[in-house]
Amino acid sequence: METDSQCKRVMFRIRAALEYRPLTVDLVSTLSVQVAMADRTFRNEIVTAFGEAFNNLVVHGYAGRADGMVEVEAEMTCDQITLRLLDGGLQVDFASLGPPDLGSLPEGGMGVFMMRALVDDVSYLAGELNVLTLTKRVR
Amino acid sequence: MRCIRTRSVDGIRLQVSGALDALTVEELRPILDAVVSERPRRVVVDFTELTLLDSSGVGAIVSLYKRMKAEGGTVVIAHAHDQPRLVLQSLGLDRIFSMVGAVV
Repeated sequence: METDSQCKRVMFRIRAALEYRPLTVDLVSTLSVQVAMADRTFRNEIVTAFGEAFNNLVVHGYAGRADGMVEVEAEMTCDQITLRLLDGGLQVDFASLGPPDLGSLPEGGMGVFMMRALVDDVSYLAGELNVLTLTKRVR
Repeated sequence: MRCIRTRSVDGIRLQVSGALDALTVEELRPILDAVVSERPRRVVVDFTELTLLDSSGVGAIVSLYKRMKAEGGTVVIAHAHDQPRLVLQSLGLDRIFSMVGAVV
């Protein structure tokens, strides 16, 4: 972990597999505690958004590939957390994904909507390594 | 995820504990299928001990709700709190499902 007076940075690399979901989510939950001004709702929101991002990466990005890895870079200040997920899987075009019709009670396709609803910024940069960035600030 | 099923006067109660997410949801689906096939009037899904819910878990509950509704039955979500409650709220499902005993 790198630390300066205002920002703490952590990186970890983990298998992109659902078996690793609980561990990965627990790690992010622990990191979110470093945002000193965050309350429980804030932590629940960033952990939930991250979990959806991780699901998408495993299910759609790597689409069942057993050798997928994801690198997570986290930056925490007293009032903000930024999580970058870097993966070498298929590109997922977030821009083309509109909001689900919640009135029709969909049984899937809600993950990206939840990510967008629960954090302040979601950005995606496709490339050799795809980078999904989630940023959440204390209000 | 663990699911304990009990009978009540007018239906079935499912106590779901632990994490209901993309990793565990497939364990719950056959239980829900069996419940629906019995055509109970009412299914109470008790989330008292549910610690984590994601969109995959929500999908299974929505599926249960739609199938029960098609058969003229009802689904009640009991004691959703903390992160699972947040997830239901973020999708507006707290206004669709009958929610009882929620701890804010």
